[in-house]
Amino acid sequence: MTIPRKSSRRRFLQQGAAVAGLAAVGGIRPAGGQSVMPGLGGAPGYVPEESVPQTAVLRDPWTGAPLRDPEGNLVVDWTGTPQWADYQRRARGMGGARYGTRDKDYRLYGLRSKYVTSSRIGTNGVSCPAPTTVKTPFFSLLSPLQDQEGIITPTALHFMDEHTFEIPEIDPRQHRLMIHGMVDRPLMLTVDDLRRLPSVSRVHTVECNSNGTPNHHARHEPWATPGDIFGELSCSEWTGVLMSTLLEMAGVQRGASWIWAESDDSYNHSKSVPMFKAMDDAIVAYGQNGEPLRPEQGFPIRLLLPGWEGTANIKRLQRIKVTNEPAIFHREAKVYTQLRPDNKVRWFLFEMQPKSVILRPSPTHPLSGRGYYEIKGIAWSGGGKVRRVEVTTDGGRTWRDAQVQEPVFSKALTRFVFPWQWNGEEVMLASRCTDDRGTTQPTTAQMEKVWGVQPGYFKAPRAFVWRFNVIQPWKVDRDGRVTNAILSI
Amino acid sequence: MRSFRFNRFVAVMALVTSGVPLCGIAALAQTRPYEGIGRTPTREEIRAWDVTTGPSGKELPPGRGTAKQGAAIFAVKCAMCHGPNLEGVDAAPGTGSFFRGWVLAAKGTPLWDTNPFPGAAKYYAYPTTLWNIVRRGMPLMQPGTLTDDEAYALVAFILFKADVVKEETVLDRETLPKVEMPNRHGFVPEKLEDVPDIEKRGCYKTYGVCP
Repeated sequence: MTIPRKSSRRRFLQQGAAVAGLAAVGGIRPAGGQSVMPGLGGAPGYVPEESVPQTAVLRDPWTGAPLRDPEGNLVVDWTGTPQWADYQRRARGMGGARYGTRDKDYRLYGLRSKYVTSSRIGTNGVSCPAPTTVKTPFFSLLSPLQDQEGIITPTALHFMDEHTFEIPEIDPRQHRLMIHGMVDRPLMLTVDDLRRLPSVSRVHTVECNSNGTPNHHARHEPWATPGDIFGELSCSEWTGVLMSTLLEMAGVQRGASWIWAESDDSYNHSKSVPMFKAMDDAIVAYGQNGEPLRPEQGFPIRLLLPGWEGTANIKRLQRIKVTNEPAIFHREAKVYTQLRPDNKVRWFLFEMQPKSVILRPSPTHPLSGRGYYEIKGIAWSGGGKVRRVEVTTDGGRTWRDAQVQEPVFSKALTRFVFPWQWNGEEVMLASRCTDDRGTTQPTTAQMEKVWGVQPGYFKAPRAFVWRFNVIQPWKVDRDGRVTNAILSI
Repeated sequence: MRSFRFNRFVAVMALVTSGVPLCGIAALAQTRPYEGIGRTPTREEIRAWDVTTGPSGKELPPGRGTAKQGAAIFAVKCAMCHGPNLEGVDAAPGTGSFFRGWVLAAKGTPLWDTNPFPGAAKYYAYPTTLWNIVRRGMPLMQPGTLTDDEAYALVAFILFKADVVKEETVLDRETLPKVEMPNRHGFVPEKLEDVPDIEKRGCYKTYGVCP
């Protein structure tokens, strides 16, 4: 379909009417002749050729002639033009919550249906400057896993654990990544430099060290949803440059065994990473789910250590030092260490353990009546691919294999489904994940044995219990209501 | 990594034999893999950021400081979050602080389930951790703005308040890494060279939880 081109006379009249009309109201710049108001007929965004800023016209790089489309119209990059600013003003002025409050029209950057309301779950702790009654000493926003469809977390719902209290707004043109230390060729790279290098795009989870820990108060509540329990977990397609590519470029010297990764934020959060991980699958990512990283995910670039504790995935990466010892930064010397009953501290625990959770049914998705249901859930492991997921519908007495659905990526969320008939009786559902290394999820009793604690120890919220990958059970009552049955299996 | 090692091998062989034809290959081996991308950072750029150090203390800069000097700096730049007596601050209403500062020094040692947190100085295995967070991470929102002398003085003050060093102890690049921390032997694995070997540490077994 071709758009009929309007006669120049009609265009002239239109413009004249618009300018006259607005001039009467006052404050219009006649130079912005594109200010045709909606409702006057014609395309409201039409800009006559003579009003297009010359600097915005795209040109043939050889001849310098303006580029034209097959219809003969100028090809223009509207970014930064007065017409674009005017458009934004008018888009806001058109009214309606979806239209009026956004910088951009939803047709240009999409919004979800107003009937979909799932959002991050806030657990503001004492680090939060806003008034709060919550005592949890952590500032955390969890991903609403119970509403997750598929294996990719919507970028806008990716969990946020911000160590830095404030998310810096970084200009990507000013940002630099420095690689130095035990290298032959120290490097200073811009984000554009990184985009010239060989790239990869991989699906991986980011999961906080404390995900699923019994020391968060919500973990013990009967109403706790998958998001309340395992919400410090998200999965994205990450695009960027392998760390091994950058290290090869810099030329790692003999004897180097660690890298230190440092963030550009309000306290330069840093972590030490062993060389074997840096050379294996570590990524310096600039893309997430098909677009640049969001500021809360580390814009413009972040480190990604697939399968390792979330805090090591340094956001706003600005410095890599290649060296031969761990630095032992604050968040590996105190925070993210694990005191055990023998009074010894475990540190540098790195990898996240296999876990799984049933998303439907769950507390916010109860059963509406007896009959057929597909039990749906997610499983993941920092150790590799999910090899097997088993489901129990009788509180752990018998386990049957669930169907693990493609695609199955290493160190990524993996879907499982399990067809099930509910007979209307009280039941306890749970899932158990085994990864391709053979590591599996423990029962409560097995975990107590690993820790060397008395039975029932984990029932009271403890200050420091990390890496808690005990099987997560749901209790279904006769009305179809679903409640959190933590530590029942 | 594999091709890189090969290049190094070629370069070393060229140097050893000093053969004329091999010199050309050696020059080739020195070219960076992705030509024309990035630049070499200046000495000043590296020095501005390269102030964190490992336990060996080899990156520590010149400078010095004592607890007495540190006390004055602490009162101005740290006490609002960490408390005048290093007891930490909870950002409860009325405390005057938005932020919760860590306990830096208190009585006791880290003990399972009994004592409250005895503070960073009683928990850290190495004094250089204190240096790193003070010099590169603090004060919050203005990280890296303390001078080397100020950082040495603050580390001395915190360690003095935790009864680890004496008030007159001078900390510098020689003395700081030698400070013996109270919890030095409280960590598993204790030897730093065992840390990266998580397979040997048994962390991959059964439930994936390190023993």
